[in-house]
Amino acid sequence: MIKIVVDSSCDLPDEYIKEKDIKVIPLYLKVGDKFYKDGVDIKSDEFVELLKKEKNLSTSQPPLPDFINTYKGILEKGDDILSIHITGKGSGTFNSAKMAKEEMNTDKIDVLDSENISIGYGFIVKNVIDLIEKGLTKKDVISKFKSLLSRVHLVFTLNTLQYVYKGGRVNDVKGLILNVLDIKPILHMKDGLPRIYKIIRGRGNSIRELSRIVNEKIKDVKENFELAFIHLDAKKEIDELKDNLLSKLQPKYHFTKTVGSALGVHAGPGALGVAINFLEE
Amino acid sequence: MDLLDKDFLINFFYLSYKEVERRKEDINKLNVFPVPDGDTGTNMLMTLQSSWEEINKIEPKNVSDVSEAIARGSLMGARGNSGVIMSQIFKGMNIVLKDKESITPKQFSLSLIEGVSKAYKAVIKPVEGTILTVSRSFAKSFYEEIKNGKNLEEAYFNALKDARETLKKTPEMLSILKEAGVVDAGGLGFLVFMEGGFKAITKREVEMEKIEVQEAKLYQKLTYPYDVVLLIKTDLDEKNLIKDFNLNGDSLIIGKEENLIKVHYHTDNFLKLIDYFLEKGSLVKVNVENMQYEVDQLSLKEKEVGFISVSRGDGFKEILKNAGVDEIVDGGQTFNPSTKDILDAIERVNAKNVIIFPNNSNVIFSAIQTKELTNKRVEVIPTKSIPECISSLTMIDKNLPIDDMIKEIENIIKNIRTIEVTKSIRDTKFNGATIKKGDFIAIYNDRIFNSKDSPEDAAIINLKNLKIEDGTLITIYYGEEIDEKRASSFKEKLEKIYPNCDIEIYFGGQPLYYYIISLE
Repeated sequence: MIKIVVDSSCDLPDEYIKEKDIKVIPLYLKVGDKFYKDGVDIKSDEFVELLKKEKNLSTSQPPLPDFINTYKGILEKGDDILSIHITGKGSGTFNSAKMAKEEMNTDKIDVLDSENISIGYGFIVKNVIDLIEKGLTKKDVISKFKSLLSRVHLVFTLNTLQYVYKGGRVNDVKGLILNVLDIKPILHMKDGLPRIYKIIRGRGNSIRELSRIVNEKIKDVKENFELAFIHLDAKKEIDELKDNLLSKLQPKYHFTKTVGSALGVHAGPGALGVAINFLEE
Repeated sequence: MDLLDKDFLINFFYLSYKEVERRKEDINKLNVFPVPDGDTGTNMLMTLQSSWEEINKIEPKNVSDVSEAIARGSLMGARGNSGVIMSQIFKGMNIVLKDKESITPKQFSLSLIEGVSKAYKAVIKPVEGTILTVSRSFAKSFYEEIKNGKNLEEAYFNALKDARETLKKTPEMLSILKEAGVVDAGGLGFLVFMEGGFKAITKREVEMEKIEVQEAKLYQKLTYPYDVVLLIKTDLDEKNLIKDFNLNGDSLIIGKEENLIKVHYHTDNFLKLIDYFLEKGSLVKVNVENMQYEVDQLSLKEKEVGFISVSRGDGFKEILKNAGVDEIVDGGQTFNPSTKDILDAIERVNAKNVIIFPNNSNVIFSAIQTKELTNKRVEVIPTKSIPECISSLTMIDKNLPIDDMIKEIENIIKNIRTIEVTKSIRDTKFNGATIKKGDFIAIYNDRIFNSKDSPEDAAIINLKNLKIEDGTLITIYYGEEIDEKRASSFKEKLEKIYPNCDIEIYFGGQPLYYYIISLE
């Protein structure tokens, strides 16, 4: 059997993770000198509170033993492993997973870079699982993997630039923070990194623009797609956006999730986004 | 030849680890690559600490045991990128040191070579100008010095020297370091580690060349751009002179020069600074320099497209500069700039192509006239208000070719409505309404609404006659005659009327107009 290992930044729904028996390796949230496991030691409600009051938050990739222990447990049962991770350009997690594989010196583990984050990364994991369920071998899944990446589109907007600026993971925003005006950038993933797609003024306008972008991208595919919605402390807005989109579009599957703490530290309260997964014809 | 035993290696590692602990903050300060989160030193230290704990868990019998413990501990405790790389170096070293009772200096140097090579292989895309480059420089030079017959101390000392030189060159190899004005944090971390270890070889404190560590500058925008030096003649002493001095700024230096007092300060508002000291005595000499200008000059390159905006008001000027305007021409309603004013600005902009935002219908024509008077390509966007210019420049992608950029700007402008609130200067009739001289009026295109009571009321009457969708952004720019408190209460009033709109408020500082309000 092929077992799927992911890290906690994939933001897939808990029920789905349980149903497909996916092994999740938590990223770490660093508060001062203390480490918390994303999604394990800290849940999303507590996290939002913490994010708002604690200045000294950052994230850290899981240490090598976390990978090794998870891998060992699976290998002992005789299963094979596909370990799929958050974009290697934005996090050291993918590199650590590769090192753990090398450390264990086995060809039963394959480590893959989703080149995406959050629900974008989540959909790539889901596409891999769909292929396995169709009966594809591990080798076939791996050879198809690159083509899965371009089928997923993630767009999101931030309500404040403060967090993404502090986190330093989006180089583009460096210049934006100096703006006297309040701006609401729309970001997307490009070459494995979040980049500015468009700059918008006004929160209402940025959410409207997000909706427009999704409609625009989907207009040619009718119903052969899935949608995922993500937010951090923006329940009302994401619900409105979702209702608005779902009143016109008929995705084959959709879900809504709160951003995990590891990514949330960078996105900040008010972040929300949509991922589109174009299904194979 | 001296053999290096397990005690040497334990001592070496301990002193290295302690040196990193001592200089952790220096390393943190430099951190800009790959992510400027300022924790390189902390991460490295945690990695080394894990190795040290591992050494203490065992009773090592030989070099092999120690090396094994260092490698294992660092692998399990590696944090952050440079921590992971350090752990790979130790892992590579262990390939050579494994099964050794004790080692020769040559074997020691070979283990470093192996370590660095392991680290390069472990990183998917090795980047030069980082800890990799610095560690390779050290290992290579150490090995060659030993091979050429130098003794351990000499060889190690020279390798440190080379590594230090390499570290200094890291900004040339990695542009992000150069921009931030720093050397690589991980590279410094490695050097510090090796400097600590040197004490295990010499068995004494050694004077090292100090690497100057400057905090990374993440952007080149100065908070306090004006460097001001004042010479004051006053009866007050230094302490009393600055007793109620509370102006924002830094680098205050104050000193007596014969019977005068000299004050040095960095500020964003030198006029206020001068005002303060004018009250305390008479100014003999004032020297003001804009340091931002010097910083900008350094990065001066001809741009593809430059932007000129016609505007009035300090607030607007600041917002426009921030939005990316290169030159501002002073002017607006009842104060139209001449064609020559605009032309001068065109020549001042360091760009091949220039886009002009006249921001007033009376200025559009003078702007168009400049086209024939310059060799630069000039495009005039017929903007009728400053908010049109602000939103365009904030939202467009400035890397687009000029023609695409113009198309995009035109699209943005289509969606902006502007209301201007001022005072009527004569009696007039409009759409059946009688407007008296002195009435407050709010103008949107050809619609004018008046109020005898206040500019806010005039604005609200006009707004209520417009269709405003939920989610619309209403931006209020208040003029020089309105104070912040009054503007805020106007904003609160609008928030009650339009609870589903986003309302932002900024100081425009414009004369004549109490408010300029944009809807988009």
